[in-house]
Amino acid sequence: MIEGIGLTKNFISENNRKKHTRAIEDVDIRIDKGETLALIGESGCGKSTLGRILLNLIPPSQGEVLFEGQNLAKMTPSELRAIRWKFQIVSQHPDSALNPRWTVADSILEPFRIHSKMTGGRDQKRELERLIDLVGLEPEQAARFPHQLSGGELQRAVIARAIALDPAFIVCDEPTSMLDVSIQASIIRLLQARQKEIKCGCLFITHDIQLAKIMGDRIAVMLDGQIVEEGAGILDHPAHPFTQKIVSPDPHETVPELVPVCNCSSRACSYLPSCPSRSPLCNSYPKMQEYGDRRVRCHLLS
Amino acid sequence: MDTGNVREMNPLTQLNGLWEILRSNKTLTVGLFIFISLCLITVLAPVIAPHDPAEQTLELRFSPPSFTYPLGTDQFGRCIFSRIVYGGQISLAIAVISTIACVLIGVLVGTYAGYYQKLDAVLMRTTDIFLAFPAIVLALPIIAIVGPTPLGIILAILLPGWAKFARVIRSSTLSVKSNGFIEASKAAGASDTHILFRHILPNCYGPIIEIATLGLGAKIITITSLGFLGLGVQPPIPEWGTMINQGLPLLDKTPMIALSAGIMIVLFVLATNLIGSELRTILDPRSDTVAI
Repeated sequence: MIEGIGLTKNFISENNRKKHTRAIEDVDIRIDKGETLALIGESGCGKSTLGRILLNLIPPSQGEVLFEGQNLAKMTPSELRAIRWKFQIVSQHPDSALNPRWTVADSILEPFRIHSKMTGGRDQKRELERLIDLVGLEPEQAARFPHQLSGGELQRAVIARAIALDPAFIVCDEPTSMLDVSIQASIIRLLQARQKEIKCGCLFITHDIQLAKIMGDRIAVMLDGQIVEEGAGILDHPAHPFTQKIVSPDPHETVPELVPVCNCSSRACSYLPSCPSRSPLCNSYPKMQEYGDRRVRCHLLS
Repeated sequence: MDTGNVREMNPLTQLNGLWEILRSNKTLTVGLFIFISLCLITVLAPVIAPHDPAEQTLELRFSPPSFTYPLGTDQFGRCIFSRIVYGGQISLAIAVISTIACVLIGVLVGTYAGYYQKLDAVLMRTTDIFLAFPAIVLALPIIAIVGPTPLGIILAILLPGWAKFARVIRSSTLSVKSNGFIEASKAAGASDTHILFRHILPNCYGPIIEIATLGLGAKIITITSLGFLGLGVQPPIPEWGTMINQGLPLLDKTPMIALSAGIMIVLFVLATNLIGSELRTILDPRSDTVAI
């Protein structure tokens, strides 16, 4: 359904235009209808950038995003806006995800107002009742302003807005990381239930391995802007050394300091500096290769 | 908090709540009262003023306040009270119109510069050029070209004045823009116009009202300084700023000239600031919790 091919994003430094920061590099990603891909990785590895590129909020430097076979980059801005209702985002910070000057109800109904041509016939009041019931909010809460609601209630409102028009693809960017532990589970259950109902594809960005196992039909591990391993059961049977490290029971286990096998070039494997099982082969850039049910970017397996 | 009251507490959703607001908000009531009184006095000047503001009675120079001349007369024997009443017409009109014009241009330039990264450099460098000159240097050629008419004075205030507004509004736009609701709205397919006018502008109300109300008072002072150079309102026409200027050397003979004009300006600035600060609170839904 949604597919990214060879996605690369360079950010140019504001102060020094010659300085490029490579946020993501050569990423192939595919999410089918009704499927959840859990994307895990350390902070700053490009998870959110990838999500934003798939939503076409920022353009990729290279590569293309295909939605139902159409190249989004080739659409005119107005064509793109017209199919935008199929994409939604649930962001990390619920307290800034709603306009503080609008009532929560106004924010939930915003997609209807934006796409009024498409939804003109629908009764907004009834839609609002349906949506707040789906996410478990009270009507009084919808009449309030965002600052009067708690983080969990706000995130419910954000989810209500995201599912308002039955989107085809939702990016959940660490939707529970800012929430109280006691509320996280209920938000996750809510997301799962609603996603099953509307059968949308979902990119679930998280750095919580347990959460990734619960949510993801497939899991992708990201390291330094690249997906290094992707597949269904990769967290239970990791193949890539980085995946092995993040699922290891002791997260503080330090990788023994190793003598560099040679001068690390920029085209080397990105895990080379801390890989415990590196070989001279790792100085060349490993390709993503398929091994049965998974895809791995590592020389060790080939 | 009582959940049932939430709707009623937002004044924008219920206009008939206006009376409730006025009754509970003394500051706003006082501000509005002064403002409306000043406006009424100036609009009804021909009815209120006992004399023609330009009429000179040279034998009655520097006469003290009396029944016929409520505030006495000035160095030309003109009725100070009538000059104060008529003077507001020019002062208030120029201050209000030029402030509104400054806000409009500032909002337009500021939001576009803040929102469209590509326009930012061009618009802000242009703004910097206007900020680089002392206001009076920009005002001089305008008055020279258009002449010391009300229009000329408005333009002379507007040209150096809008740049400050643009700067402030740009920076608020930048901070509002980074919020998640802008991204969510964009992801949902909102047009730039929708984002600019429904999301960004309402969240900039606070600073806009703040600088606009502060600016109103400053505008009257600018008119005065133009008058000091002989570029403001020309002599026979009464105007508060010019009156202070002319009255200062005469403080020992008739303090009424500078004093009464000064009090009027203070009242006007006070009223706009009271209204401005209360308006900001009322328009911000986050202040609801404090209101009750």
